[in-house]
Amino acid sequence: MVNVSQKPTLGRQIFPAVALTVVGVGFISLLDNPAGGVVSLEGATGAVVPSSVAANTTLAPSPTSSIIVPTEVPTTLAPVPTLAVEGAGSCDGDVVTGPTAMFKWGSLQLQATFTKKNVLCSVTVLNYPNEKDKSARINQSALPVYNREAVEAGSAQIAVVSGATDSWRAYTAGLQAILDAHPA
Amino acid sequence: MGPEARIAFVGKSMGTAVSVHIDDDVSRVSAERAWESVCVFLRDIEDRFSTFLPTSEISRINNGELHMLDASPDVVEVLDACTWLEHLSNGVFNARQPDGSIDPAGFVKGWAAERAAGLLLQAGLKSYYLRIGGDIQTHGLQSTGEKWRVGIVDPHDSSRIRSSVDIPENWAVATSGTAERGQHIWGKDSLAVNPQFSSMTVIGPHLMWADAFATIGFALGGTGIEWVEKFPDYTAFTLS
Repeated sequence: MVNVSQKPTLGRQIFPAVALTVVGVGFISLLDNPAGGVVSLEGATGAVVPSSVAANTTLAPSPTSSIIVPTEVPTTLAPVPTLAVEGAGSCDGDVVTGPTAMFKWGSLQLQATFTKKNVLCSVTVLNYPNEKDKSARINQSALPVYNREAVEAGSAQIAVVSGATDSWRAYTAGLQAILDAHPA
Repeated sequence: MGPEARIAFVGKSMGTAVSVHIDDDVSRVSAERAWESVCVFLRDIEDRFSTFLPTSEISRINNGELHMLDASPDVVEVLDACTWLEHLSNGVFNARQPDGSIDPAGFVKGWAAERAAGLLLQAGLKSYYLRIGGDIQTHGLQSTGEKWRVGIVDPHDSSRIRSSVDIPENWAVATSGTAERGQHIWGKDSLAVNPQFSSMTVIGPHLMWADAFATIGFALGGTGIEWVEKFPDYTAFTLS
């Protein structure tokens, strides 16, 4: 671990999300091509992600969404894939561990290793959401109650409708416009 | 108080209809004030996120005039969420267009709607729903004491309802389908015809995720329901 604030001029060369994306895509590629094992991180070479910047990648639950706060999902440590950058030289420089980015449904933490010349040479995903953490199935009452063809809005006491046709034009021709004009 | 007391407002934002139905026993003036706060918020979101406005933060990022790190916290949060979803969906969800520019519109709508619904709560309301383009965030129960009953539109005929679902208190519902294909999704499988179903509906506590999960689940096709239901409290069902 090092104090990366010693290199402030390099700090803005890459947006943390790009790093996350690169790692995510790289990780996926790694899973897709286990035999290869080497993923090129184009565009990431030479970038340094200081922890002060990486801290911005934490996506906190929306502060104004006071709807309900879901139960925190425990995450377990997944297998640790390492993405190596081809031709970047030996990873004998700084090791920078990012903050744990707590997303709504799990956490993501990355560890980057640099060469002596501060070239990014590998990124490791330290943890990854575990798919086995699904809680109990939701209450049966949340499942569709009617599934027959052509339930009429009025007879079923529908309060609102959900559909994929979401343009203004589709709206004006659809059921929701009727419900909006004649609430309940 | 009977359901006849419901107050409804309709507006237009992000190219689609926004409506709010309020079942609380409040004055018309209070309801209008709450609705106005929603309108102001959504106008601000459009100003900052629209790729059609050259002055929006997203446009300025794409033009190189604004660095992502100098964008407002909301923009950073949205782009982070898009990155997270791209990661979780193996790239099926992707806020980057083929030309490399970013367009988080597919996420912003549900995210903004959930935020806007939160403004109604801040205004002291307890029984309401807010809908943007088929995506709904509810709060509380209807004035009758019943859960909000949401009709699911026939994906082949938006004037008909094929199914309905009673939403647990404070939950959200979002539907994705053929009609919006290509609008949101530039992922690797976005052009493939989905042979399994014509629309996917996702319900869960947060509209920002329900909307995104429906988009991804629909794009995934046969494995979509399984993918969505990996997330605690989120469930998906489809219409053929």
